[in-house]
Amino acid sequence: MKRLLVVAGLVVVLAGAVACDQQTAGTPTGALGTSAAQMTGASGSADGAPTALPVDQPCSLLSSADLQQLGASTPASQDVTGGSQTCEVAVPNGSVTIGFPDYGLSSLVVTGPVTDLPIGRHQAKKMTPTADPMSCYVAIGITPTQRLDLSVETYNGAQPCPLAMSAAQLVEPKLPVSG
Amino acid sequence: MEIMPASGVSGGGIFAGVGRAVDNLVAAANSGGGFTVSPEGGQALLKAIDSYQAKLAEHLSRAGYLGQRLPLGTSPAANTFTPFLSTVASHEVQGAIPAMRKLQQRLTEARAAIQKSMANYQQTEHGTASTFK
Repeated sequence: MKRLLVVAGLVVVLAGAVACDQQTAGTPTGALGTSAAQMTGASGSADGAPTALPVDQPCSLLSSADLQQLGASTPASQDVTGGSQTCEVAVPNGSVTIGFPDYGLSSLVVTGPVTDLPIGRHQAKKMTPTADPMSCYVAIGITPTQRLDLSVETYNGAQPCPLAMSAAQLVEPKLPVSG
Repeated sequence: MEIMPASGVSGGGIFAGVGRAVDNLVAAANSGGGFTVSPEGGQALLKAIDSYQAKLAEHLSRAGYLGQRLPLGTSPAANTFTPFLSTVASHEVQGAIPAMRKLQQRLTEARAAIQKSMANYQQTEHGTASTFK
C-alpha cells in the first residue's frame, strides 16, 4: 500500500509542477530584458547587419524536413529569451535554443573549452560549458558583429554536441555569407 | 516495505519536494526486488517524467543562451527567470540553474528505476521469482 502511495504521490507532484510551470512559462518580461533590446538594437538593422538575417524569426531557419531530421515530434516554438527572439526545438532527450544574440563570434563568453571549426561556408566555435556536461554551445559567425547561437541541453544520457552540430549543419546553409 | 529517504536530497529550495519524492522512488526501486510498478502506473510516471525533463531541458538550453545574450552575471538571469519562479524568494533564484540540472539528473535515475521496476513486475506476473532471492 505504501509503495502505491509513493508512486501516486510522485505523479501528483510532477503533474502539478508541470502544470504550474505551463501557467508561468512564456515571455520573460522585466525592465532588464527591454533595456537590453534597446541597447543592442535587437531588430538587426540598426548596426548595419544584413537585413536578410531573420533575427526576429529564428524558427524560419528550420524547415519541417529539418525538424523531422532532428527527431522533433512537435513544431518548434518561438519565445523571447533575454530580450531576443529564440527558437525552441524539443527533440528526444534534448532541447535546442536558437537565436541571434546580436554579438560577433569574438564576443563569445567562454565557459568551457572552445574549438574553432568551419561549418559549411562559415566560421564557428563549439564550446562545452564546464559547469554543465549535458550542454553544448555552437556559435556560427556571420559578420564581425553578428552570429547565430545554438544552445543545447540533453538528458537521459544523450550527447549534447552531436545534437548541436546536427542542428548547426541544418541552419548554416540558410545564413548569408559576408565579404 | 518501508520507504526511507535517500541521503542525497535533489537540488534545494523550490525543487526540494520533487527532489525528495524522486530520491525515495530511486531508493525504493534499488532496495532489492520488492518494489514493482504495473505497466499502467509505470507509463503514467514515465509520461510525467518525460514532460518534466523536456521542460527542464528547455529552461536549461535557454539559460545557456541567456548567459551569452546578457553576459552581466547571474542577476539579469534572475530577473528573466522571475516569471517562471514567481513564488520563490529572490535569493533562491541564484541556485535555480544548478538545482534544475541536479533534478534533471535525478529524473534520469528515476526513469531507469521505474523501467527496472516495470521489468520486476513482468517477472512477477510470469511467475519467475529470480529477482526475489
